[in-house]
Amino acid sequence: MRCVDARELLSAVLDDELPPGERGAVIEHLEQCARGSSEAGALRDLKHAVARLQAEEMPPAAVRAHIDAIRFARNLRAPRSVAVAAVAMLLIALAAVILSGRWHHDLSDVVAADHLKSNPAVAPPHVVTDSPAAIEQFFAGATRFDPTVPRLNGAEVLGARLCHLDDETAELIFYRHEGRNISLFVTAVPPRTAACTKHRGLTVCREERNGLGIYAVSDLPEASLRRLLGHS
Amino acid sequence: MTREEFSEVVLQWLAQVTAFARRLTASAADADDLVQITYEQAFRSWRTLRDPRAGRAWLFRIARNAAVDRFRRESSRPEIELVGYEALDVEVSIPLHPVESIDLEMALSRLPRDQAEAIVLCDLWGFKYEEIAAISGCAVGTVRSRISRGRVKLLKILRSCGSANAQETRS
Repeated sequence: MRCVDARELLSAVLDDELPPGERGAVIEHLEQCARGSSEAGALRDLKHAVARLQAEEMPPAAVRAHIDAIRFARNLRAPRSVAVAAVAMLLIALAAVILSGRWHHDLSDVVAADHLKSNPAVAPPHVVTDSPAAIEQFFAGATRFDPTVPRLNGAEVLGARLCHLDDETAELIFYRHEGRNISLFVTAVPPRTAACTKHRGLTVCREERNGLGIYAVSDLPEASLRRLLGHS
Repeated sequence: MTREEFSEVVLQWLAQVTAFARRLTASAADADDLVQITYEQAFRSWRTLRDPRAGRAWLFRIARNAAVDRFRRESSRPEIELVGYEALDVEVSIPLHPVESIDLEMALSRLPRDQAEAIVLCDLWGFKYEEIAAISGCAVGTVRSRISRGRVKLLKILRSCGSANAQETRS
């Protein structure tokens, strides 16, 4: 081994970081090289001098206290992350419920109450006509859906007015059948399910037609109201 | 390894990590901050330490990375261009007389930071080259080169200081 190569490897020999074969070659060279041997001695002394420097130092009490706090804070940290996740889940669920309610809120009771207040005998229609086309023209631009006047088989159209259901402008069309008044509400929000139920002593039938919500309210029997709506 | 076992492992190295932090930073206050940051990060990612025997090198690596991230710009420790020392006509092979710690610290401070770091990790804390490579984020061959070159430069610096002191004594 050349002297220059051996001297390059002296540090690695001192640190015992050379493979046995290479290490043996370096040591063999040093046995016959005074300069290399002396340099190895100087490097060894240096290594020992560095090893005598301060290797440990206790941190101040405040630092140790902080680390102890970290050490024992695990039961606080984990639940905090869990709590954040739980709150997030709760908010998502709440938002879903609110949005779901907004989209599918059952207005049966509301329309029953409104029917009682908006009975033509109590609150006259905004437009009095038996023409569905005239009513559609009246509603044009007032709602966020195209105006429509559902046909109730055998019922007479009396007129219509605008109303508000669940913060939405809706159609309210008045019909009369067999001496009974029928209020038919058309909303932009369809009901979750189609059904006829009793509210405030009235029959309320709800269903979806062309993406809109249809609520028919009357003191007619359910079977009669179903027939008017075309239910088989 | 449970978290409590992990605590035992990492806290036994607190004094060494603190001493290492002192070398990585410009002030005692910065070192204290670095020790706190190191242990905060360690406890935050304690599950990533699989082998307790690697705990000390793992902590040193965290401390070093935190120092690089946080204190690099603030550090006042100068990076010395060693061209002058390379050119010094100082014989490395002459015996090294007992070195005062303060002289050695001064000489270390005049080495390039990566060489000084590799030397103290090896000689002061007894890390193997492979561990130093992991701590410093470099190859084992790089560590070997840094230590070898760093020691030679360190000897030259100490010799030159010794020559200057001797000349002052004579005059």
